[in-house]
Amino acid sequence: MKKFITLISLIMLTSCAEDLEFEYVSVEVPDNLLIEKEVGIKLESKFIDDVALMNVKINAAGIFTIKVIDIRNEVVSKEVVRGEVGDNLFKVYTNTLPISSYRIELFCDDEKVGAEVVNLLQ
Amino acid sequence: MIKKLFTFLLLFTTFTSFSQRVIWEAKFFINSTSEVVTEQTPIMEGDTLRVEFHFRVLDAAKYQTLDDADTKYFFGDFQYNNDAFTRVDGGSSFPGIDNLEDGSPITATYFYDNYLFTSGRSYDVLQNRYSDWVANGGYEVDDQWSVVRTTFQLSDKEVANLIDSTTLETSIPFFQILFTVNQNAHQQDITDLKFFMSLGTMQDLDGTYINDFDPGHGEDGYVMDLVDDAGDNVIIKVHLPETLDPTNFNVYVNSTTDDTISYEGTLDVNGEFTINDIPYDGEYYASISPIDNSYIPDIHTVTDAYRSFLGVTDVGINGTERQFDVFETFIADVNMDDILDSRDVYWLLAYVTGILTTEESQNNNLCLPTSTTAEDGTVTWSWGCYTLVNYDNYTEELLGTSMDNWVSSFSPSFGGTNYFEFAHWNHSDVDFSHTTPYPASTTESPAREGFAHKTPTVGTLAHRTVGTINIDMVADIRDDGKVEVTLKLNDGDLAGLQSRIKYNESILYLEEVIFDTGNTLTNFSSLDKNNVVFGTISPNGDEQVKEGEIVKLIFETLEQINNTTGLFYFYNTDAVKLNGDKLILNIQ
Repeated sequence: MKKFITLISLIMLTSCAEDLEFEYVSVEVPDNLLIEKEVGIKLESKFIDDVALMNVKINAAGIFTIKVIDIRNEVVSKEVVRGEVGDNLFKVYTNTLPISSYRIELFCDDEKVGAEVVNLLQ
Repeated sequence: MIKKLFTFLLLFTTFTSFSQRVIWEAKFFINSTSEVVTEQTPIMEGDTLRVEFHFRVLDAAKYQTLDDADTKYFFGDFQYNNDAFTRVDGGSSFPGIDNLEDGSPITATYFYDNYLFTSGRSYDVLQNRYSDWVANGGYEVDDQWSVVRTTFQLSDKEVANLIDSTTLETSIPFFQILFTVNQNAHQQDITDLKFFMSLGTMQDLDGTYINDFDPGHGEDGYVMDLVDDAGDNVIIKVHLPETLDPTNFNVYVNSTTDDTISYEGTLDVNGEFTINDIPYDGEYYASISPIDNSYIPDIHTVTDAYRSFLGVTDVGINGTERQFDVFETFIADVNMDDILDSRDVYWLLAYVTGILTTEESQNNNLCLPTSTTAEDGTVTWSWGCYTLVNYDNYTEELLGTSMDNWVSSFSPSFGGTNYFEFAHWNHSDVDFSHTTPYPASTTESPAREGFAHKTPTVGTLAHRTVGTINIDMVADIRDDGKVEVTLKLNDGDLAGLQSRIKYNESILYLEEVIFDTGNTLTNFSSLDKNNVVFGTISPNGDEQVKEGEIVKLIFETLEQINNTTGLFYFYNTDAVKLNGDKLILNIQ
C-alpha cells in the first residue's frame, strides 16, 4: 500500500533555503521509502545494480547537497539538488561507480542531516 | 550479602539491557583436513585456512526476540593481517544462505586491501561501530591490514532461520572464505596473527537494527596458532607506491641460463610472490606486467610536466643549484639521450596536455605512453618504459653512476626463506607517483652539466611531502536542462592541476569544457569514451591558476533526469604548486 502525502509549505526560507516561497507540493511516496523523522535520506534498496529510487526528506525548502563517499572517506560524486519541504524522490544511478559499497550523505549547508549505505551489485 | 546483591544487580542490568544479544563469530579450519585450528593442531605456513562465519544467540529467549524482530539484512566488516594471510581468489561463498532456500536472497562481498578501521574501535558493540562509521567514516590506509565486507539481505526468510533453535547457533556458516598462510607469517608479532570484526549491523527492512550485536572475541579478535613451515622458498617482494594495486600485476621469474625454467603468478596485496620449488644453483631475473593498464594515463600529469620545467630551468644564478638529483635527471630525460634539456620539458608537457602525436613520439624515440582510439571512443594504451631494479640498488649513488646497477637478477641460496626485494620504476614519472618511493640521497656534491648518469647531487623535488588541497567539484542541473559540473578552487599558488571524471554515457553527453583559469595558462581536455581528463598548467610558472570557478563541464542529457547522484565518478586528481610541491585534490 502506498501512502499519499500532501505537504503544505508557506514558510519564508532560512537555513538551506533560497528566497523562494513554496506552495502546495504533492509527492507519492512508496511505503519502503517513507521516512519517520523530519529530515533524512532513504533508499528503496540497500543493494543496487543500476538505478534505484531515493527519498530525501527535508524540513525547509532550498538547496541541498548529496555526496557519495567511498571507503577512503573521499567524495567520489557530489551534486546540489533543489528540495521542497517534505519528501523529494530522486534516483541513484550506479553503473558509473566501481563495484563497492558507498555512503550517501545529505547536507544542509555544511551540516550532515542524513546518511545511507548502498551496496553495488555486479 | 551486599556483595551478592551488587553482583545480582550488575548481572540483571547487563542482561536486561542486552535483550537481543546476537554474537557474530568466526571459526577457523585447516581447509584440507577440516581440523579446527588450535594450539594442538596449528596451521602451517603455506596451508589454506578456511574461516567460517556464524551467528549465535545467548539463550532461547534471545532467539525468540531475534525471531520476532524479522531481521533480514546483515552488513559486516572483518579485518585480517595481510602480511600473514593472503585471500584466495574466488574463495568466498555463502553456504548458509544458499542452504536457506530463501526466495530471492541478495549477497555481496567487497575487498578493501590495506585499510584499518580506527576511529570507531572504542565501541564494544558492532552496531555502535557501524553507526559511527556511517556518521564519520573511520578507515585509514594501513599496509598491514585488509578488510572483507560481507552483506546479505533475505526476502521471505530471516536471520533467525539461519540459526538452529536448539543449539542457538548456525550449523552451516552463513559466509566462509579461504586464505593462504604466507610463508613469512611467523615473522609477524604473535598478537598480530589475527582476524577481527570491525563493524556490523543487522536490520529489518525498515532499517530498525539490533542494538546488541557483538563481535566474537571482542577487540582482541581471533589469534591464529601457527607453525613455521621451515621449508626453502623464494619470496619476490616489489615495493609499489600506494597508487598501484599489487594484485594488478603479474610477476615473471626466468632463469638467466635455462630457458625451460620460468615461474609466473600474481603479486599479492603485499607485492609479494612466493616460489617453493626453485632450483638453488642458478641465477634468475624478475619482471612484472600490469593486468589492467587503465592507470597508464594517470602516471604522467601536470606535476611531472611542471617539475620537469623546474628541473631544467630552476638552477640558480650560477647554474649549480639543481632541483634534480642525477636519478631525477635521468627519469625526466624523456628521450633517454643522457641530456635533459628544454626538448624533454616540451615533450612531457605536450604529452600531458594531449598535443603530442604518436608519430612525433615514435620519431623522437620518446619514453612516453602512446594510445589508439577505437571507433566507439575507447582508448587503448601502450607503455613499455618501466622495469624492476634490485631494491638495494635503488639509490641515487648506484642508479646514477652506472647502468650496470640497473639489474633485477637474484641468486637464491639453500636454507629457509630467500627474500628478494625490488623497486618499480616508470620513466618520465618525475613526481614518482607510480614509481617506488625514492630513498633520500646520502651524498652531497654539485651536479655536472648535462649528463644524467654521472656525478651525484642532492635533489629536492623527489623527497618533498605530498600535500592536499581542498576543492569543490559539484554537479547541478541548470534551468535549460543541461548538467553542469563545476570545479571551484579556493586556494592560490598553483602552477597546474588536473582531474578525471567518469560519467554515465547512456544519460549524459559531454558538450563542452569551459576554462577560466588565467590569461597565460595552457588548458587541456581529452575524452576516453566516458572518461574526461581536464586540467590546466602554467608551463613556465609565471602565472598561478586563478581562484574561483575555473572549469565547467557542460553535459547534454539524453533522457529526463531530476538529479545526478551517481552519474559522475570523480577520481585521480592532482595539482602542483609554483615551487614544485605535489598536491592531491580533496573534494569537500
